Amino acid sequence: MMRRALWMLGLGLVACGDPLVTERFEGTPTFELGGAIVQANARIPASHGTASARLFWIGASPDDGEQVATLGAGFAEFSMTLFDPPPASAAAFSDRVDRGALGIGVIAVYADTDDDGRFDPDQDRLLGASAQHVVVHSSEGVGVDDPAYDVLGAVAPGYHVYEHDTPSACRFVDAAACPPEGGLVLADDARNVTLTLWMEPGEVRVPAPAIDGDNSIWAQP
Amino acid sequence: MRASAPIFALAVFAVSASSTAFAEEVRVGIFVGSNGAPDGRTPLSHAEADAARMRDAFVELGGIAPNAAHVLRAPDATQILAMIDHAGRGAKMLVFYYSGHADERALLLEGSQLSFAELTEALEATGAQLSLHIVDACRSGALTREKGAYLGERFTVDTESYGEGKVVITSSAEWEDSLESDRLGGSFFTLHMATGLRGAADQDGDGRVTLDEAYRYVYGRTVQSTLASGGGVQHPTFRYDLSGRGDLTLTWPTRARGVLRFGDGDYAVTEAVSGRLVAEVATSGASIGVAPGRYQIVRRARDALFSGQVEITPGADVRAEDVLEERTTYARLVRKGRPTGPVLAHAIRLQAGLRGRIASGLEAAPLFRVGYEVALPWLSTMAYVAATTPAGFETPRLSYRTQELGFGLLVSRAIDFRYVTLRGGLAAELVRLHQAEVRAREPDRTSWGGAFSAQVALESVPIADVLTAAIVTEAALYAYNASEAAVTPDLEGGSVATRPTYRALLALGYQF
Repeated sequence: MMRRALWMLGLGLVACGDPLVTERFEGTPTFELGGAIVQANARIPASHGTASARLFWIGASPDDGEQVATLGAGFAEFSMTLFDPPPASAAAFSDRVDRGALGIGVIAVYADTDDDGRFDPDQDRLLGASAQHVVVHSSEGVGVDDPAYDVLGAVAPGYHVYEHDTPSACRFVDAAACPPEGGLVLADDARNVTLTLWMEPGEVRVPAPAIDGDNSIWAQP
Repeated sequence: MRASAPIFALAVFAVSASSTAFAEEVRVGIFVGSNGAPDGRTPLSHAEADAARMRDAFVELGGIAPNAAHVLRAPDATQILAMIDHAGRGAKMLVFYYSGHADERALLLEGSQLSFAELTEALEATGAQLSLHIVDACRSGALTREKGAYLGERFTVDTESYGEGKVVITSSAEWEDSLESDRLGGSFFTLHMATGLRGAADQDGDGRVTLDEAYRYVYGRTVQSTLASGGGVQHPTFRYDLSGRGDLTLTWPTRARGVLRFGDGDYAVTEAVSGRLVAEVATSGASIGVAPGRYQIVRRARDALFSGQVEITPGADVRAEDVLEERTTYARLVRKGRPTGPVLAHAIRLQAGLRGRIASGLEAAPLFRVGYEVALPWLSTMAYVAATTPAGFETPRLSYRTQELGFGLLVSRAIDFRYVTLRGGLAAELVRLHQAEVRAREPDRTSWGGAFSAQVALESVPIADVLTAAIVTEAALYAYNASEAAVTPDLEGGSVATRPTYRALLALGYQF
């Protein structure tokens, strides 16, 4: 025991400085979020393939970026670590700010039917989304003079999680059934984002909300 | 080497007309060596061996019969006086040689002293016709002060046979130390005197070594070798009070039962069995007389040693160059630890090869090493710098290059075989491991650690005397700071990781 302790002490004296990283290392996170997965009427057939979750930016191609969420065991929770800024195409709302880029995204769960690690709109199926929360990224921040200020308020540069100030019972993708209501407020806890799963045949849509003239994120039909 | 405190050697030749049993002996020699030291002085190492060396030279070549040559080892004053009285009385020529401690007034023996006055009185009481005092002692030049010291000046004893009188030759001037050499196993002065008496001093080649020749030889060689020793220069002195005609002959090398002849270069002759140094010869064309037996002959060149053994049979006349069959570079010589060989050798080593994978994030990489080696008789030490080329690895979103820089010390022991040298050693190294993200998405990371290795190498015999090639293999253990964390906040502090790996290199060495 004593000899082992002395040996370890000697080695400790030898080794110092920055710890070297291994192949597992991903880097320095810039934002972390997560939360619970709520299964409302969820029934996910096994034939749907591997379930995956990722961040989809409004106005961007579903293939852009690799910001993937980690699904917990039992499909009860998820977590997501963001290291890099969103892809360049994730700037659909940049006209609402005087400088920089502004993007809004949602986290969606989908079945990767072909198991290729990518979301293919023609093959893969959306299983659910963060109906109550959105992810906002501003490269330069939002000030009082920016049009987006009316919806988002003052926004510091970087990632943020916003939530609807009015709970909505609507399915996220059925804009016709869910007229815009309420606004967005900065979420208290980025680790309390809810992913709501649904599963009804024929009602799977690609999410495409937008900020409209009423400053609602719901697009007018 | 060791500087002796004043040591005093006297050789006295005396001739007497008395008819004692010893009076029939033309020459008598009394050779006294005393390693012991009085209080406050350092004991000597080779004084007694020097006395035996001088005895052998005079017995083999100087006309002193074996039973007329008396060696006293570590005697007291009473014993010396008794021997002088017993052996020297009535001798025609008396050689009295003393090697030991002395000062300006007396021989300093262990536990007793013998004043010069008392010694001189005893020697003169023998009635010897001719006496020769050979003094090997620090500041022994005080003996020649009385009539002025002669340094390197030629003199001729004009006597048909032996002449009469007294000659004193000292190993150093009165203000100088006399030096012993552990490497030579004796004092510089006595070794050169003995070598000269064996024939190296015979400048005119007439087969005799005269007193003049002997002194001039021992003077030149002693100055030369003590100058190179770094212990201080020694200048032998002499004083004479003689009458008669002709040169006084001390030895006849032609009487030797075997002869060794030397060409250009520095030679050392040692007895093959005992290893005792018999002579050092640096005079081209010199020859020495030796007793029959087996001898090791070595000639020192700039980067190597040439050596060989020879059996001297009665009547043999051998050229030293014909005996030198073995050629050894200095590094191998150092490891042999021979008394006449070098004690230090140097080498520059260049190595290139591969360091194996240490762990995830520290992949295998080409390794380069430059080292400076010092070879001692029992082991070698090499200080080196080692570096690898950057080795890359990928993480889920990052691309890294890791590079190693090391500063190490290798201690090794070599075993020389005929065509190869097998070397084994241990090394400790301070290692700097540097990770850099290719696109600078993350800051560089530097860890300081250690590497400990065990090495086995197979080295060729020297090529062109100075170059060696080797294959080096090592088992190494690295210790460094590492973390398995996936994100930066979890990297804080890290932990010491110890990982084994291997190194394999090809090496090129330049020895000097």
